[in-house]
Amino acid sequence: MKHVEKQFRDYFDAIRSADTASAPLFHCLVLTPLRRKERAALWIFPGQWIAIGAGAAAIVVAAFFFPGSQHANQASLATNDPLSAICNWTPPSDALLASGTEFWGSSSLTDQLIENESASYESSPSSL
Amino acid sequence: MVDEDHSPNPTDPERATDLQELLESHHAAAYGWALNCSASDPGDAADVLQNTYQKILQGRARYGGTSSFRTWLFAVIRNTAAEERRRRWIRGLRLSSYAQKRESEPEESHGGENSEQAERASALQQALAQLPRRQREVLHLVFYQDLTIEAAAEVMRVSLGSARTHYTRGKLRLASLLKSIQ
Repeated sequence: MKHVEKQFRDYFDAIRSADTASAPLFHCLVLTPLRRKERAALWIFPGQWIAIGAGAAAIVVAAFFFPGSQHANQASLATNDPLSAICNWTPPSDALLASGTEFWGSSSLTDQLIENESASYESSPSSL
Repeated sequence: MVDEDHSPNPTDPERATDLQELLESHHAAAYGWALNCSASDPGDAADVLQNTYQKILQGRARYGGTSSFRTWLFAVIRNTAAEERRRRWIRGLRLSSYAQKRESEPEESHGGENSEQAERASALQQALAQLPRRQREVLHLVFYQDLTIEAAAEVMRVSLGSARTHYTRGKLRLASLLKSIQ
């Protein structure tokens, strides 16, 4: 095992001497201002912010010109609103009234009677 | 264990100068360790080292005297490198793999040296690239930096037992890898 360790040390010595030769000067690192790689890294690709701005503008324009979703929300709110549900409520017995003419046979006869009555009233209202 | 916030801020100019001198005396070793912590990218290693020096000289990282200065300095470098890695990872700028960089580097850095040493360095770099990070770190600290396993454990912030395990496994793996490369 000692032999292996000796061999490792020889190998690491080779790297160490190369690293020492390529090391930057201490004073260069301490005296120069921090290299801001991060700032450059913010620019993931050229024109990144232009693309982001254009995307945001497109979303705003889409919100102005396609307000469908807003209406849909309002409609769903209206149907869920109990007040509007009460206002739109029709009693089930209305169906019976609507179909009343059917019991009198032809509706044209009823209409004719009503027309005659109204015509006689218009000609001599005092007779009533 | 190593702590970054033990002693007062080095506002005293005399102390700051002492600190600079101390840092300078460890500069070459610190650069080697920074390289190891930065996937062997010389630019990243320089950045990590510069950030580390700034931290120490501005008092953001303080030497508490509980361990040797070198051990503490290496722990700060390791933390700074980890911060840098996280930052880069978040930004999606992942570093390319350790192997790729280590393989491309020898032609630049060992060009002027004798071929045997360059070959050794290249073989070791290839082998190290295949080791897990912890094993690579402990082997670097022991064989490159001549630290004890106890000191390496302090730098790596792992228990002594864990460091020993990484060391033993790393040694076995590295030996077999070097054999296969040769």
